[in-house]
Amino acid sequence: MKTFDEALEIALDAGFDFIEVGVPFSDPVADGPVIARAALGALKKGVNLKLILDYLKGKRLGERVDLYIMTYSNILWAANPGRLSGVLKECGVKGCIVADLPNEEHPFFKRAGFELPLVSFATPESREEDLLKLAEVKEAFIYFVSVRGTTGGSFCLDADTQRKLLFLKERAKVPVVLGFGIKSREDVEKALTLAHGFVIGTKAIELLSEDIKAFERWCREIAG
Amino acid sequence: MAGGYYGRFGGRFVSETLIPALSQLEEAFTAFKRDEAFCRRFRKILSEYAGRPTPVTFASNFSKAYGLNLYLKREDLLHTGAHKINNTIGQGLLAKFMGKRRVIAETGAGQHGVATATAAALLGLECTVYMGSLDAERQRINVERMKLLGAEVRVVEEGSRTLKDAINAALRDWVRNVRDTHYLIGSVVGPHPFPEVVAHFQSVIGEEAREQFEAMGFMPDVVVACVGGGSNAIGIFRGFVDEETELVGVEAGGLSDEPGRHARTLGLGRPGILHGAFSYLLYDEHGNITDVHSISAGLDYPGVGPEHSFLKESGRVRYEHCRDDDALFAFKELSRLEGIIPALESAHALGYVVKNSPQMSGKNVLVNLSGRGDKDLSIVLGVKE
Ligand SMILES: Cc1ncc(COP(=O)(O)O)c(C=O)c1O
Repeated sequence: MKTFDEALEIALDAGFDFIEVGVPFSDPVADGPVIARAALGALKKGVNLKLILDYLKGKRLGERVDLYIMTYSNILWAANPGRLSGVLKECGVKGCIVADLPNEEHPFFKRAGFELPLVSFATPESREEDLLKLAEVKEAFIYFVSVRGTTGGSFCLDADTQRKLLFLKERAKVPVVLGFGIKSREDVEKALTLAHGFVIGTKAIELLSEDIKAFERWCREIAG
Repeated sequence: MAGGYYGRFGGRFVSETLIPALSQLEEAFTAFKRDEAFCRRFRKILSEYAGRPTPVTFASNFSKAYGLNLYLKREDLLHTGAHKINNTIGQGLLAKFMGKRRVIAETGAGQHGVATATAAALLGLECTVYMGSLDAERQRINVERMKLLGAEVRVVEEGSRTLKDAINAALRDWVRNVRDTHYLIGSVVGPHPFPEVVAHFQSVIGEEAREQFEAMGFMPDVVVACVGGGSNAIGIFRGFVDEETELVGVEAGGLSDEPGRHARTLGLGRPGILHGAFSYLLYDEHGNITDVHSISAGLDYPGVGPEHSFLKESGRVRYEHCRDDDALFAFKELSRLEGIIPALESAHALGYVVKNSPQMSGKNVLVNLSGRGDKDLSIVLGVKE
């Protein structure tokens, strides 16, 4: 928690507009080895949703930055979606990014009483009909997953994917942010020519597990 | 089944990246079922290569000893030694039908891995099998069999190093290679339409058994099958759901009802979300999946197919359990009395019958003998008397 606290302050100082807080799940199928290992490590230390929410509430973090929870379906389900959305609101959470919840299953959680925005996904596999549906999304933002794969990997967009991204960006009613594999200032600049924003996960966790100073330098560099 | 759900169970809880592939699979599956040539080829391979139809055997010595009429649907006689081959040939053909060149699979006991490697060899598909390192140790022979059949075996060191983690690894592979790879899932689990695809290919068990009983002039009073993910059970149940027949699914009771010491997903779990479906699941107060235990690697799984969750809540199927030692007893009992060594998985269905034989007295009981037990000898011998 101490590293987490320091890292948060560094990220806030660097001027990031929104922060995703990952809640670990025992079976993180959408994540590559770096994030999966971090999640399982956190679980071993006893980190869970309730602990994280108490912390966020105590820090009143939601007042300083747009706050999103990133996790898996069963974590939300186990907390009772109806009850949980009230708690999340109290903690100033803006919405949730759920790695194993595709756009078409959002109604499953809404029917169960979940009231917070759920982030929609676009991918290199999205078909035109999917992109047109995404253009109508009015909640939160659209997370464009840049690669076919799990988190980690390298940032590279083929021509077809770039075309899909621009098609969506032109039509979308909410910001389109790009993620998966973004590591450097160069990646960020590239991402910003194509999308409204970017998400970084793996690289941050990699650096944090090495040393906080390196993380701080890197945050400054990324934020430009 | 409506919109990918059996009642309130099922769905497609996977990364968005996989959704188009699942839609493609659904469309291909619908077209495949209507494609005469492919269906004919499927039936031909099942009969000329896999060894269908399998007989129904009346186990006369066992019946006399336990005061009931025990019939066995002999899936143990199929090529590779278990019902798994029905599904792998079906999905292998489906993969070809979709123009995929590679299949991936998860395996627990190694039976599904071997059956996938076999179908891949027969059909000319590249094959990668994921297996938890704990299972790879327990079932070393099956690892060697898969390699011999030309498959690449990737051992998974994460999590509990069993079936659940092998599925996680296979899903990660699929997301990366979704364009040219078909995920040949081994049971009626996973995101829609997998549970329906696997149930379709396994329903040959129940259709055949039903015809075989019709020819004998009666229907069984009770049909019993073990439930891991639930494919051999759905396969045989589908032949009898419209009859009066009582249907019983038997889960692995492990050592006790304490968390981590059993795999009684339907018996002691609650609905939750794992591996693409909303179904009964074993998890803790925070939503993390609980460790499970069974003497049988094929039943050592914290989830279960969504159709079983539906059948449980509708009341059509009763779900019971059998502990490790009762399964072991039945394993030895069937070997000794009938000269048939059952898979430890199937021995759970038999163990339930042994234990409840007084209540089943005089009844016609059909057990799905889903596989043969040669693979389990080292485990059985390793257990102290
Ligand atoms: C012989 C046998 N029976 C049963 C099972 C359990 O699977 P399912 O419940 O899908 O039939 C397995 C799985 O490996 C098996 O090998």
